[in-house]
Amino acid sequence: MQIYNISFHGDSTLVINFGKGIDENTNNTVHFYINILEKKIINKPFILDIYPTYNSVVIDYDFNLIESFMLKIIIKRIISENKIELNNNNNNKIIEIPVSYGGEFGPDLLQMSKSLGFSEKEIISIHSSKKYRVHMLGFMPGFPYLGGLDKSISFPRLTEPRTSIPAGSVGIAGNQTGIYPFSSPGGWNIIGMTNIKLFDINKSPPNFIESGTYLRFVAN
Amino acid sequence: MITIINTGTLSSFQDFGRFGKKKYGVSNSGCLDKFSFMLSNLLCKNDKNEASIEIISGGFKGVFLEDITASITGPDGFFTVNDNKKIRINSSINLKKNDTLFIPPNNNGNVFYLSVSGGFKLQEILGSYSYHQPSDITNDLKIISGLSYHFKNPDVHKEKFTNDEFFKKYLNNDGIIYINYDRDILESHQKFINKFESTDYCTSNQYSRQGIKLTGKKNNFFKNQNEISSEVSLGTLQLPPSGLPIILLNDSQTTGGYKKIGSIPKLELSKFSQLKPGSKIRFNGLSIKNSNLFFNKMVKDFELISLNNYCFYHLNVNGGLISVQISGNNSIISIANNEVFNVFKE
Repeated sequence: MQIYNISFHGDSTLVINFGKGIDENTNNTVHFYINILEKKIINKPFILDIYPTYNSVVIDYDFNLIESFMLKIIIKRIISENKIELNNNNNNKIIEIPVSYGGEFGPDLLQMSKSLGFSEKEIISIHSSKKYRVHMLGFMPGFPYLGGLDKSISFPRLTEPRTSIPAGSVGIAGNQTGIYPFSSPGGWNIIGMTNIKLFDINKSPPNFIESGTYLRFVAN
Repeated sequence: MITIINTGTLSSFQDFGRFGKKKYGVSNSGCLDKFSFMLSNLLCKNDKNEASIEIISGGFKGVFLEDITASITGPDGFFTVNDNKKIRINSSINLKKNDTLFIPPNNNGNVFYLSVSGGFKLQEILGSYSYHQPSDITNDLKIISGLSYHFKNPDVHKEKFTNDEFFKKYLNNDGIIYINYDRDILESHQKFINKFESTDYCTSNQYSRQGIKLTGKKNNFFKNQNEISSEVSLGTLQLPPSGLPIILLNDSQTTGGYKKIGSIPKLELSKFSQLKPGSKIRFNGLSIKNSNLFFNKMVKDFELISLNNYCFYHLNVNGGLISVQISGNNSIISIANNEVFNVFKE
């Protein structure tokens, strides 16, 4: 039996929680049920949005069109009728992101190298050798929340955030690594840059990276 | 076509918003005050989701280059045509070629809507005409001074106004904002709720389409927090370690990492977004069930809202100009002269 917990956040958001914390198995379960729910209810007029977080499936709905408790019954039924089959899930896809590391593209790599006691090359090698899980997209359009950064190169945020970080910047903040799809203020340590456009409204879907898949950085 | 002379703080095209795109990290955007937005379209006989210009804080000025019926809705007050005709907000007006429309800032609220009969000619972006402030994916939907915007099917109708009983009942600031608490708060933090509901908060001037920060006595209940990023929605009330609440609005991020207390009911945000900086508020908990009942009734009441025709007179009295709006049953909707912004109604 699948263990989960349904709660409401506000008057029109239902949250199906599958576990605590950040964990790949839990996130696999989240994406398994996202796929099922998209097939079953995405076209219902009362559904506004279905999206994943690290450990939950989130459903925004229109409470003028369906009563909250009715939606809960529908969701419970769909989950009980669909036993999880993770092996059949198409979640082994790996997207490659070419990165120019260091120098003008990665202004914080030198400082990280000095503080961590690794050469710049070693940091690049560790960062680009890992397979990163895309748990969810959020923060800004197309921004991937990645799991799997090697602890040896985790590094605290800048004490003074930059007012503008260019689009395509690849950074490290604490034990997270990520890519900025748009230029934005931010406190991440920038170690490189990709020329891939992560979000393009003229494409369908507009996002280059899909949640529930994997990503690898490839040094240029 | 309308040519923009002044946009004010921020003017942008908005409709109900962009849905089904949160999985890509794109928030809903959409109008801050849904009822004023729908009213502006009702007055112009448009579809209720027709894109309108949302004007934050007033100070908007534009010249119309063709005849059209336009409507201005939002907090009670006046807008002007050609600097001398004063017309009450929540009215439509027939504008002629070269007429200049001005919407001044107003003490009763922040957000105004300008609709035109037949709508604006715009390019849809990801299924909506709503501008999204934090990214550059919808830049064409931001209103820019000096630019002109085309009309889709310009039309002229009878001028109409609405009596504002609905707006008085539901949207005037009574100092109380409802909140739907999250389950963990309801089940384990009754002490927090008691303290939170007895605290006077004030809306700050840190107001954007992404959210509003509140000021007041700091609440240290969740001083040490280590939340992982999770879902947030339109209306989410976050309590960062600083102890002062933030309420997320239409252009917020799709995920957030601060402690969540609950969420302001979506339709309560029409009232909330109109609160001027410095407005005093207290929070009142509402169960999801009662919240759905209350706001379902509000939507039904809005469906019953009545629109009335009026006549507009522009009188020269003792050398001064006076604007008068008179309804079909001969009652005066508004009188205004050039000196004073005063509203009389019977």
